[in-house]
Amino acid sequence: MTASWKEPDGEKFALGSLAEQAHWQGEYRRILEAARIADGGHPGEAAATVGRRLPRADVLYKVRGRARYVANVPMEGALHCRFVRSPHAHARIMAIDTAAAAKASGVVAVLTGAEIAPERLLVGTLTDDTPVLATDKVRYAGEPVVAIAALTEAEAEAACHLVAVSYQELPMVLTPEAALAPGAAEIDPKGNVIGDLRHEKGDLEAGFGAADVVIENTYRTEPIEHAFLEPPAGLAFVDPDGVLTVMVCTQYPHYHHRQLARVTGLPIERVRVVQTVVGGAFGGKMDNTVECAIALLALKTGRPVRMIYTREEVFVGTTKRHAMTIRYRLGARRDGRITALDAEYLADGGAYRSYSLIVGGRAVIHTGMPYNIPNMRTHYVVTFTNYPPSGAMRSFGVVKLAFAIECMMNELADRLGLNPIALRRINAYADGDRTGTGQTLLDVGYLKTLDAIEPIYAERRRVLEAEPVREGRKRGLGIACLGYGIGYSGTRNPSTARVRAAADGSVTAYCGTPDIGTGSDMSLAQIAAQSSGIGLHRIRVVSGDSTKTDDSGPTSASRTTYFSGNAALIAGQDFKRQFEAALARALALPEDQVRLENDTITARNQCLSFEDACRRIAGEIEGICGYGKFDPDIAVNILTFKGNPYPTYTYATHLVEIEVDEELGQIDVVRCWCAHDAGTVVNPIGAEGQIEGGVAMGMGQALWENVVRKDGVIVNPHYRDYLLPGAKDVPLEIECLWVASKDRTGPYGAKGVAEVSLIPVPAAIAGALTDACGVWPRRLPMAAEYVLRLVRGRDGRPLLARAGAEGRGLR
Amino acid sequence: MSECRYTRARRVDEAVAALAEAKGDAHVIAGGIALGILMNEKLVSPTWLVDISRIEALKGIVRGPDGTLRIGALTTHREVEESPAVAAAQPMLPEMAAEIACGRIKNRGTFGGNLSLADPQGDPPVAVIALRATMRAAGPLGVRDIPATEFFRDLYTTALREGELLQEVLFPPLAPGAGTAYGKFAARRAMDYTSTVAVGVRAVVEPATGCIKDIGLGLGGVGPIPVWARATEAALRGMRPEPAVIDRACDVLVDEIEPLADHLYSADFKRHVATVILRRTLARACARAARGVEARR
Ligand SMILES: Cc1cc2nc3c(=O)[nH]c(=O)nc-3n(C[C@H](O)[C@H](O)[C@H](O)COP(=O)(O)OP(=O)(O)OC[C@H]3O[C@@H](n4cnc5c(N)ncnc54)[C@H](O)[C@@H]3O)c2cc1C
Repeated sequence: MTASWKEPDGEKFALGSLAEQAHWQGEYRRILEAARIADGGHPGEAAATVGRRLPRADVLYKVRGRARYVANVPMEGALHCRFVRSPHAHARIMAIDTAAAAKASGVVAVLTGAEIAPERLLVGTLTDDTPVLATDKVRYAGEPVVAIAALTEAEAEAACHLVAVSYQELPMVLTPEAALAPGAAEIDPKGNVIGDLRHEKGDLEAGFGAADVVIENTYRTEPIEHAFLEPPAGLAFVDPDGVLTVMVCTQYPHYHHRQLARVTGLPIERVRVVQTVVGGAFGGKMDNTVECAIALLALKTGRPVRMIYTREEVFVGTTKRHAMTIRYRLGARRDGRITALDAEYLADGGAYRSYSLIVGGRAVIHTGMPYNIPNMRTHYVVTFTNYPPSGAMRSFGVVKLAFAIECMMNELADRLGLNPIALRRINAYADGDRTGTGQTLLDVGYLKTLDAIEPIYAERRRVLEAEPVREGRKRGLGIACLGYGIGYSGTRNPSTARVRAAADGSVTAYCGTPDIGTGSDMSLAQIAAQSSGIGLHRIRVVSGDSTKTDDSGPTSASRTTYFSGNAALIAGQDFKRQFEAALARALALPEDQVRLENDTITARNQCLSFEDACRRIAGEIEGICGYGKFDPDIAVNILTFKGNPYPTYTYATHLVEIEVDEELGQIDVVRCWCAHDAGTVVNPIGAEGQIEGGVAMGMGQALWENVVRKDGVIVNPHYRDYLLPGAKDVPLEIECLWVASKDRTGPYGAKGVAEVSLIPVPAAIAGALTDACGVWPRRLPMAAEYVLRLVRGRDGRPLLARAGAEGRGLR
Repeated sequence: MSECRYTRARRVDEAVAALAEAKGDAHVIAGGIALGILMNEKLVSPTWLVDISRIEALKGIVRGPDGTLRIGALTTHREVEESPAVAAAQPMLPEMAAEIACGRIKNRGTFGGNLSLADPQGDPPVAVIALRATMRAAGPLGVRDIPATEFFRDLYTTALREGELLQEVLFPPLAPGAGTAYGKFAARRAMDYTSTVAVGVRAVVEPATGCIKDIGLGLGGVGPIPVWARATEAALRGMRPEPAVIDRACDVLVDEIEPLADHLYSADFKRHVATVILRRTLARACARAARGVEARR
């Protein structure tokens, strides 16, 4: 039996059928035109779209509630899936009895891992180590053990309670330290260490020998939840052509496609993954969650199966940001030049590998960034623990490195009596410098970001010096910087794009990296429009469908604008060339006399509209396919960490101004200035959105966010107790400063901006706290009690001072 | 799936009769916010819901000729926040209601539902204690008055008996020279309903001496129930709010409350926060008392 599913004729599923889209498209075009003119464009002029402030194509759908999230995809007869999850953090599964559940009201199918052939059971990212459903043992509380498909969600949920799993509990391993201790219970058959990475540069001892000051500190961070509003969700069915189709909110459809083929045993061409509108991802939608289970149940029952995680499941059943302990020893000369950095990391990888090694590799490469430190030693260890797997999250861990190194820089500046900006200038990476991996840097805009911030810093410094306390709150300024590699770390990760036109003049650009809410479809259309000469309004981007696009890697690692943008640029140029050649033949003109520019064609001395031109070559137009592939040569030896890990790097400096209530330990972030070297900014509206979101997210990590874990369980798996910044917490003024910069390898000079706006935020707030109160935070989050303890420690007073003894009185 | 009976009461006696018939198995539903959450989390699976939300007699705000303010149980937090009659009679109440969650909760949540829930994190309980309100309950034997200071008995437990409804809350007029203020600590500016600490202060200041003639102190978030800080009140009553007096009151408060440690804060931190909020709120209340006295002159 197959689903009675008729695919809408629109090429981009997420936005609905063409008929559904027509109205919105018309309305959108009007908005687009108005925005373009407001931004200085001329009516009718189509070219030079890169750099314009343009509203994205999907905003109308979203604000009017028309966007297709998995939950709203209509599907007759769909079953609902729920998981039976492990209550234990570490236990052997002795027996699973599903008999009662199978007979329960509404239940159509029950799936256990035992039904999946062992060679198909495990999935993963770098390593296939995670069972679709646990069979012999569970490694964290919340691990899926049984999947049940029923007519309603309530029936599926009720049946889950009828499954009897008998467990034999095993000793829990709850910290990396415990995982490394001799005699620790083994979580993985290969041992408790997920990765042990080392890298050296220069001569560490000589570096410390040359130092006048040495600072050593340990920084700790807690696990963080991605907190996307839309939980993981999917809908699986077999379409009328017999293709297993899985609709899912994901960052990487092609990954699921390959994995589903393996897990189900279906040939690769009998699988299709369609990305639905993604309600937030941030790295948390790149691992298997619902996909494999609902696909197997759809095949088993012959009916569509849908699954949507609850919020609690999001907390207990998806990846987290790694909790990490960072120990840095930094040596510097009296003049501020850093001579040595010894870095040690211990990260909590949770129950399975997920992206742990990628986070680790990025940490090794980014150690010391964006400073040119001649002598370094880096040692990174990540272990298993019996908590949900730690995985990818915005910046792949670099936000924690920035917290550590920038706090060290502030301390160093303080010790040496140097201005914090001056100290950073002395050590900043610049063009031609070689990184720890031996890569020669080009187009380094770091100093420009310091230049942009410096006058603002000086001005605010004067204001704060004149009024250091406002309404009882101490005021402080903090700056923090970063350098961040664009794309995968040290492995090739090509993107491809295709541009095609139809005889009616409509144009479709295909790209594998999906738009996960960042507006990347818009940026890619802008780039393709610019390089092809086709009007932006004609171009629809199809992305996120594994059968309509090539695998171009995930939308992650800030890589889409740069990698896919380059592919779109090349594809646009290729289209233009083929199109001009075909038209020249049709008009019997030499090729060099036909030009597609500004959405019009000049052929010798006549002018043709794009539609007219398409009509003239109607017989040929379907055959024209502009193709672009961008695949820079990047490689790093994972043993020596030598090579070129990224094609380019982006840089930024943030300045924050805070006010601190010292009696309560509370921090208010009042203003924030963000100077970024993102290369050319393709669409400033989109880029500003990324920055504002990054600041909010960084504030959360700085001040509140913490997945609190105790005895193997997460104690705050809901938003009442997991505190995110709300609209009233985020500073009203977030100013984006784009420094003049062009990357010679980027599309029209663009680099990327997505993750980086988050990275300096906790560090900058920490610096501002130091500035305001003279305390040195070493932990995230800087929650009220932690800040109060720091302030009390500074004054040599206990947390709960007897008021009488101090005689403070009414204030 | 368990079946749930549903009664929509139009009058208080209908609701009371339904509760009597249910013999303790019914749940009253007012705004439904708290109950909805408890049901979603499967902490409560009611078999009978008695919906009181359409009972007109439980709505409304009235100021009696003697100055007593009566707030019906179904009055929403928003109405408490915005009513000129409430602001004139009991200025602490709008100040308190402004601290509750967000617009959506304020528009839907009821004053009576909140008090009946007796959440230690709740704001209205703090205010009714500080203002020495009277809780009027309707039951099978008629109406019964319970002082606010005796209303909160245990975690999520009030003095309401089986089959009783909270009908309205009566606030005695403020004495001349009274100043009130409400203060709240929350982790964020965004709505917080976890680890908050709230203090409501009603201080009656003798103009001639500057002494605190009478005081009401309610606290929230510092124990399993909303707290009437009697000992701290005693430490302040009859005293001039001078530094040494306030310091001593804070020491008394630290011993009087037993906040629970949670995943955000230790008990000692909450004790400390309570003293800071007390100092600040008391200062505001006393300042208002002084201003009020000036205005009346
Ligand atoms: C996100 C969020 C944030 C919140 N933040 C705050 C906050 O900051 N401060 C705060 O004070 N509150 C806060 N609340 C709680 C909210 O104000 C209360 O849930 C609400 O006031 C309860 O009122 P209700 O009318 O919805 O009660 P219901 O859910 O209808 O009832 C609550 C309980 O009281 C019983 N009940 C209701 N009315 C009566 C009556 N007249 N007589 C007897 N029993 C009755 C019900 O049976 C039930 O047990 C928050 C709630 C949420 C969801």
